[in-house]
Amino acid sequence: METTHKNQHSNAAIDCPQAVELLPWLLNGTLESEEREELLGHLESCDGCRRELDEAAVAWQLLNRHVPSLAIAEYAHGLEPSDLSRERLEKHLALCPSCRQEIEFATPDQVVDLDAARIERSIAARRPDHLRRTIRGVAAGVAASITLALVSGAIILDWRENAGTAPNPTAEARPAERHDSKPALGATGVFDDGFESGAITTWSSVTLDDGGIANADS
Amino acid sequence: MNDEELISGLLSGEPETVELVRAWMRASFVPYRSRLASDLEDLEQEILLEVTSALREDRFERRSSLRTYVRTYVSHKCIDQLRARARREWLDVDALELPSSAPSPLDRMASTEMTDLALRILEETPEACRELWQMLREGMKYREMSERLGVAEGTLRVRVLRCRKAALELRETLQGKKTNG
Ligand SMILES: [Zn+2]
Ligand SMILES: [Zn+2]
Repeated sequence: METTHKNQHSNAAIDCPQAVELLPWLLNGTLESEEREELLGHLESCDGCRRELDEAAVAWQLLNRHVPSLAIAEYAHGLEPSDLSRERLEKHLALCPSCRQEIEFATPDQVVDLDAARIERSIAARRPDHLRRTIRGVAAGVAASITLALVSGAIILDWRENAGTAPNPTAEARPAERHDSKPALGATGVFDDGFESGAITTWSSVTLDDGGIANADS
Repeated sequence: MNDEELISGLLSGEPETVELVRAWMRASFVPYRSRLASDLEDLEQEILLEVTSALREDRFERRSSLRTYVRTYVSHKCIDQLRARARREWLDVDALELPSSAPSPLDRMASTEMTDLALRILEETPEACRELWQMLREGMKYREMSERLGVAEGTLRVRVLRCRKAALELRETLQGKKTNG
């Protein structure tokens, strides 16, 4: 009863060339159950085809290899990728739609984090020392920073009313707002008229390529 | 707001700093929101813990601002999560419990070395073969593949086999080149 009779299911049992050809679909898990059982039965008893299976598994492992997820994330955020050269990564991207899509999803320009900007302002407002330094730093740094930022094209002007604008998590990135387009972004420069006073227009984030204004207060 | 102040705020559990880091994280989750829906809450918690312990153990290399570090970490974890889901459907050969065979030469390779080799093989593989691999990866049956490509099933299977042999030869060539200098 335990013995497999190979002729039991179909006119011909699976032979070695057929078995070898079917291996990729055994590996991707899409064989019909009857075919799968026949193939596994064959593999049980055939050393040659088991070696082929090992080979197919190696090929599968190699050809399913992609850019490591950390390198994808780093690249998308403008950092140098770890453990992989930028050249190899970019060559792979040119060939691989799935890694390209991962990069696209991870790229931060799609996101405007108004929530974070609001909390940063509030943290800054609760630290009087920090506040004074910020004001001094911003006052001293703003002119130079604006020039720099305009030149670098990375200025972000967030013209909003300070009060009454609820953070909108679904806000779409407007073309002019490219947050985080470069890696080493510093913190947010806050230049707020009276801080929590609910006043006028706010510079909620003046972001420079090299974190310029962020360092103005340190 | 300076990163070192934020780090010490986060490590001492200052609520507003924690909230700020969470806001950065949530912003980075946006593109993944629909695909990771049910996992997001756990993932947010997990990432916050991991980032906190990385900072505590001084593993933040300061190659970027804290904000970019956190956001990069979130993207990295989301990609991992989506990849792990896709992988679950593929077969693990060891799970077949067939009579044992020699360990694969890949098992002895460091992961970064293997990634580099694998990506080079893929680069040099003909486009027709890459297309076949892509379909296999997407979980297509051989019948579906032969229909899409408009070739007989037998022809398709032989093509896939040839591509596999060619890829493994390529591997030997590339590895040989490396060993010989
Ligand atoms: Zn056989
Ligand atoms: Zn890829």
